[in-house]
Amino acid sequence: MASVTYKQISKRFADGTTALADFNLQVNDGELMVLVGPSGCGKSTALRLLAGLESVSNGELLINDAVINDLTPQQRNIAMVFQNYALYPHMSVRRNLAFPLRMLKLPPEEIARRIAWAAELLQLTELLERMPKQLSGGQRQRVAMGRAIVREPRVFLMDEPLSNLDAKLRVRIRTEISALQRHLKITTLYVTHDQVEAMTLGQRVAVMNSGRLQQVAVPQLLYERPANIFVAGFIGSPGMNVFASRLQKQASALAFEFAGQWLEVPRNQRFNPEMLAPYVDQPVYVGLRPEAFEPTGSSEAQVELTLTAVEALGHEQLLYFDLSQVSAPNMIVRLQGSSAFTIGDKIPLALHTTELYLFDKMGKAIYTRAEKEKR
Amino acid sequence: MSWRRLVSMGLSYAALLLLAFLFVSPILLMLTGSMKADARVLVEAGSFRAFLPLDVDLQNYRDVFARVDFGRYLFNSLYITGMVVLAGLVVNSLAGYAFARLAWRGRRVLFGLVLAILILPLEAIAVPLFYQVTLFGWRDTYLVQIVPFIANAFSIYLFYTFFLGLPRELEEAARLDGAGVLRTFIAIIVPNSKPVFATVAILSFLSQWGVFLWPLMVTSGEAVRPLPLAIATFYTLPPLQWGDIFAFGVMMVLPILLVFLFFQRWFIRGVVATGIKG
Ligand SMILES: Nc1ncnc2c1ncn2[C@@H]1O[C@H](COP(=O)(O)OP(=O)(O)OP(=O)(O)O)[C@@H](O)[C@H]1O
Ligand SMILES: [Mg+2]
Repeated sequence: MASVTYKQISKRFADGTTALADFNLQVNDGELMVLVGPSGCGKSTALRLLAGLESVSNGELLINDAVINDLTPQQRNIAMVFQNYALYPHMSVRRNLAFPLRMLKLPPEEIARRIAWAAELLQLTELLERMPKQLSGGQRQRVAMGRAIVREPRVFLMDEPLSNLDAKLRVRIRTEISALQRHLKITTLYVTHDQVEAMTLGQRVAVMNSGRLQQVAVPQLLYERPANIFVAGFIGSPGMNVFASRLQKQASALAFEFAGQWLEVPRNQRFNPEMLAPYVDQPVYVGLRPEAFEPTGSSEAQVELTLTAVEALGHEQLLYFDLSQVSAPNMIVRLQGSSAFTIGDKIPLALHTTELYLFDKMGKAIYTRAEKEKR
Repeated sequence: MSWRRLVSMGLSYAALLLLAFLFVSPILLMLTGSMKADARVLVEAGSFRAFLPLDVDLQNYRDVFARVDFGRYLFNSLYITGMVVLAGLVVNSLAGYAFARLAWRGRRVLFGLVLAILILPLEAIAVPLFYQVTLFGWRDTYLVQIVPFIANAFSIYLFYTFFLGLPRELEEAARLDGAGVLRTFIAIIVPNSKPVFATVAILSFLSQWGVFLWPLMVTSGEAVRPLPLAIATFYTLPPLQWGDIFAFGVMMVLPILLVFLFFQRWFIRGVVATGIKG
C-alpha cells in the first residue's frame, strides 16, 4: 500500500541545469501512472529523485504522507527497471533475482519460494541458470522485471523499459506489463517518450515539458480536453494542428480566422459566446485535429490549400499542407483509406468546426466552466 | 593466392621474425649462457654460438645456491612483492572507486594531487622518506619495503578510468536492491572489473619485483633483502662469473612469467559487455 506525492519538487543539477521545476504529482495507491514527454523534459529525473539516486533541490517527496527526502535508496523500498535492464552480468538469472532478497537477509527457503513465484509469473523458470548474455532482449527485460518484483517493493519504477525492443515485442510486453501491474497492484510510475505507449498503458498519464508538468488525466481526457497547446500537439498521432488566429463578432455568431477565411465558432458544450467575450478581437490560437478535415467537392469546401506531401500508411493517409502554424511547420490532415492526390494541387477541404479547440495567447486551452470541472 | 601477395607476405613474416628475435635474444642468451661454463660464455659472446645451448650443465645453478641463500632472498622478494600487490589492489581500487563514483568534499583537489604524484619518481622523495622511516624505527624490516608502495598513483588512475567506464546503472540497481556502498563495490563492481585488477596486479608486480635503490637504502644483511640486491653482489667482485649471473637471472625471471601467465586470461577477456544492451 503506497501512494506517492511530489510536492513542489524542483531539481537543479550542479552544472545549473534545471531538470524539474515546481513539479506536483500525486500517484494513488495501486495506480499505474505514466510520465510522458519529449526527450530531456525531466522524466528520468523525476524517477531518480523518487528512487533516491539523486537528491531533491527543493520540495518534498512523500510516500503515504511520510516525507522520504532524506532516506537512502535502501530505506525507500522502491524497485526500478532501467532502460538497459542493468542485469548483473556476472550472475545467473537465479542469482540476479536472489540479489535483492539476499540484501533483505531473508531465509533461503523464502528466497527460493519468491524466485519460484516470480519465475513462474514471468515465464523465466527455464532460464534461471542462464547468464544475462545468453538471453534475448525480451528475456532480459523480463528478468529485470522479475528482479524488481521479487522483493515486493512499495513502488515500482520503469524508465523506458521497452525502448530496446523491436516494435512487435514492445506491443506484446506492454500488454504483459499492464496485466502484471493490475495483478500485483503495485503503485507504478512508468516513463516513456512514446505517447501511444503512454495512452495504452497509463491508468492516468502525466504529460511533461521542459521540467514542468503540463497535465495529468486519464488518456481519453488528454486527447479530448488537452489543457494547453503543448499537450494538444503532443498527444495524438499526429498531434493537433494549432494556428495563430483571431476571434471576431459577426452578425449571427463569433468567427475565427483560418487560412484567410472567417469561419463560425460552433456553439456547443465547449463554447458559448458569453465565455468567449473577453477574447473577441484578441489574438488566440485555434486547434484542429488531423481528423477534423475532409476533402470535398469545391462547392462545400471552406478552404482550399496546396498539398505539399503525402504519406501513405496503408489503412490511412497523411496529407501535408504548408501553413505556418504554431505546433509544427506543416498542417497534417488524416484520411481513412487511400485515394490519389497530386502534390502541388489545390485541395478543397471541409472542416468539422465542432472539433474546434481554442487557446488563449498564453497557450492555455479555453473551455466552459463545466468542461473545466470535468478535467 | 597471387604471386605478389605470397612474396609480400613472406617479406613481412621475415621482418617480424627478425624483430621477434631481437626482443627474445637477451632472454635466449641468458638461458643458454646459464648452462655454460664461464670461460665458454666469454669466448662465445661475440658469435652466434652464444644463442645455442651447446652445454647443458646445471653447475652454475648449484654455484648460485652455494654463494648466496637464494631461497631466503626469493622468499623475501615474493613476500614483499606479494604484499604490495595484494594490499595495493585493495587500497588502490577503493581509492579509484571513491574518485570515480562517490561524491565527497575535496575530491577534485585530492585527485589533482594523485595525478601530480604520478610524475614524481621515487628517487625524488627517497631521502625524506628515508628519514621518515628511520624515525619510525622501520629500518631492516619487511614493513619498510611494503608500506610506502601500497598506495600507488598510477594504479589509482588505472582503476579510476576503468570504473568511470562501467555502466552506472549497475551500481544504481544494486543500491536500489538494498546494497550499501561497500557491498555494491564488492558484489557488483569487483566481479565486473577483472581486467583492470589483472592489469594492475601485473604492472605492480613487475615494478616491485625489480626494486633496487630503496631496499639498498633501508636494509642491511640478507634477512629481509630481496633478489635484486643478491644478484648485485655477483657484480661487485671480479672475476665476474657470467654463468652464475645468468643462472640467477633465469631464476629471477621465472616468477614474473608465472604471474603473467596466471593473469593474462583476464586481459584477453576484455570489458564487461554483457547484461547491458548497447
Ligand atoms: N547528472 C546530470 N547533470 C546535469 N544535467 C543533467 C543530469 N542528468 C540529467 N540532466 C539534464 O536534465 C534534463 C532532464 O533530463 P532527464 O534525463 O530527466 O530527461 P528525460 O525526460 O528522461 O529524457 P529522455 O527521454 O531523453 O530520457 C536534461 O536537460 C538533462 O540534460
Ligand atoms: Mg530518460
